[in-house]
Amino acid sequence: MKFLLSDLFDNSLRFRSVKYLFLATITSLLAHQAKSYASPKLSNTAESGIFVSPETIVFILIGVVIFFFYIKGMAGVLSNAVRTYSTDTKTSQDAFTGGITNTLLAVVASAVVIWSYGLGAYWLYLGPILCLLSPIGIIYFMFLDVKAYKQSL
Amino acid sequence: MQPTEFVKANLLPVQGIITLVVLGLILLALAEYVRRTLVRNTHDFVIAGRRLGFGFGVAGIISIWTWAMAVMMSSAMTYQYGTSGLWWFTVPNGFAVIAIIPFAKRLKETMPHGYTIGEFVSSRFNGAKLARIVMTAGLFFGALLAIIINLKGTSLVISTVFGVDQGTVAIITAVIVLLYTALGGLWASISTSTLTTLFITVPAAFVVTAVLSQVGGAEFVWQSVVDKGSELLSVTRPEAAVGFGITLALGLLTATIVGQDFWQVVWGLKGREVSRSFFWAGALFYPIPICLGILGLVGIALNVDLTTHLNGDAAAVGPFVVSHIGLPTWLIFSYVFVILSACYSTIDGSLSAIASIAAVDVVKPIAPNIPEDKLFFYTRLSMVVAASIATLVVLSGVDFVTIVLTTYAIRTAVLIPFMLSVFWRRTTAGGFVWGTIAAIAIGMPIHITYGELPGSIAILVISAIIPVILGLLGKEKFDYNQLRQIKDFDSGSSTI
Repeated sequence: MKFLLSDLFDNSLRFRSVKYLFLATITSLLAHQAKSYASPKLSNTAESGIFVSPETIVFILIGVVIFFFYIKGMAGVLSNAVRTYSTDTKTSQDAFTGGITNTLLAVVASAVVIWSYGLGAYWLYLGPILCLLSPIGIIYFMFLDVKAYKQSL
Repeated sequence: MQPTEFVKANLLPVQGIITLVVLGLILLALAEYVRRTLVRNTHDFVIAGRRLGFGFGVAGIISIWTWAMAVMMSSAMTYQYGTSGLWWFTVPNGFAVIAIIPFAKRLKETMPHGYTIGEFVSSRFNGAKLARIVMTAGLFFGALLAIIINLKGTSLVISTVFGVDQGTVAIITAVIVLLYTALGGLWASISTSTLTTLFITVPAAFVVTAVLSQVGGAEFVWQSVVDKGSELLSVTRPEAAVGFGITLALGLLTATIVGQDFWQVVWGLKGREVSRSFFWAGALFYPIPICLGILGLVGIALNVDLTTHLNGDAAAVGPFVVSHIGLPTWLIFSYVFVILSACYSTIDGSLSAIASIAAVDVVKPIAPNIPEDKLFFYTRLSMVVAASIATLVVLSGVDFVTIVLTTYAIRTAVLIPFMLSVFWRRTTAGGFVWGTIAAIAIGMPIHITYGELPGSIAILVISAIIPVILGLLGKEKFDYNQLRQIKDFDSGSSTI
């Protein structure tokens, strides 16, 4: 009886989350029925397609890959967090070192990147490129978390 | 140069509402999962059971720190001052997150079972009520202000792009975020914030790339800006520093170091993750404004006029550029998704902060033996109250400058006394309280009469001198080991 109840409970939870996601998908599709009536009337542009340019397509493709691994990472972290909920977490020391040096590096790096915008046109793409590196970094950190969870089991 | 002809994208109000709801449903699904599996008592609700890991910590902090207004302000400051504006907006922003590390590390080690810095102040000064009240007021107003500003900013953007009434946007946003945050507390907040970091970073990258391509490429933008003056691509313009940079830098430091939305993450993280989570959050936050600031350069290149096109509000340059240059609809939606993600994550972080303040600094001191289920009820109620107040402020159209000034005054005045209390044994309760009060009493009139910078300096100097003098005159030396005696809530009983 207990097993049956927990099975039903899990199904109910999954059903509820899936229900919200299904509603989100349907409403997204409805929202995209309307098309933009704006035509590009800027004197310095040509007619653009739905993806605007090859560069945009490249960023979108990389973004899709990042999206996949990011969601996978989140799922891994959450499922392992659930699995280890009752595990006694020992308090361990904060071992991060090189605080001042790393801080200076990060701050100076950001300042230099912004300064580089003045060097030439193509440096402007550094911003979008770095914006894709942030979630890649987080994917790696989530990978480390999953590894730590597995070691604790 | 031939003036640019802008054409507003023909987007319907219902599409704006659908976008709000879609994001809300996605986050609600995640919050529901988290609630069912990881939130089993008030301790889990308020502090995620102190089980937050590195990845979620970094992503959650980034998202909490990326306000909807920040997404637009990076473009706005670039539009107004060129890359000097972007420099002064961005560099102190990431640093403010990293700057919390020494304080976070210290308190995590000396007070591992803490929940709020109001609680720390009370314990540090042997239960001094006035000190706790001052700190709690600063924390509460800070969190409330974050909700108001993000609600206001989002309402502005959605109404500009889709034509939805601002009040409607504010209500829908508040209800959605309240719903999923009240479900799962800090776990839900951090989990959804982790997801929204993805929704902020990836779309920002391809939207900005698309904008550059749409208007004629990076060369066109860059050359157009240079033609208007090479100083627009210089990072050394003093007017950016004086105009907003220095006071913003100070304000950012108070927002993180004296912000409960960050301190709840400090105490919610596992012990070894605190420093590196905040470091990488600050470092990986930087690309967001660095990328979105390019929209400000595009605004300059296209001769976007502050008065004619932006109604005098430079913060509108990003939404204006994206929605008026003929981009495909789905890209405009993507940009709106970035702003909504930033908004939702900051509001949920602030609501969680208010929940912990209510539980630990208000309810528990008044009723120490309150049953777990009643504590949980009041914790959730505090979120509803805060969301309602914030929504009413936005709906009423009331100028919330008073709230801004109050928050600014308390947080700036409390900053140095708090920093001293974390590290210096000789800081006394009197020094903390009177340093703060005197700083506000003297510094705020200077602020009003002579401006922000002199006012801020006055507040900081007074709030530093008084605690130091009283500390040196006093004989007390606090034993920080006392803080280890603070215990968690009773995590044995379930409330859900």
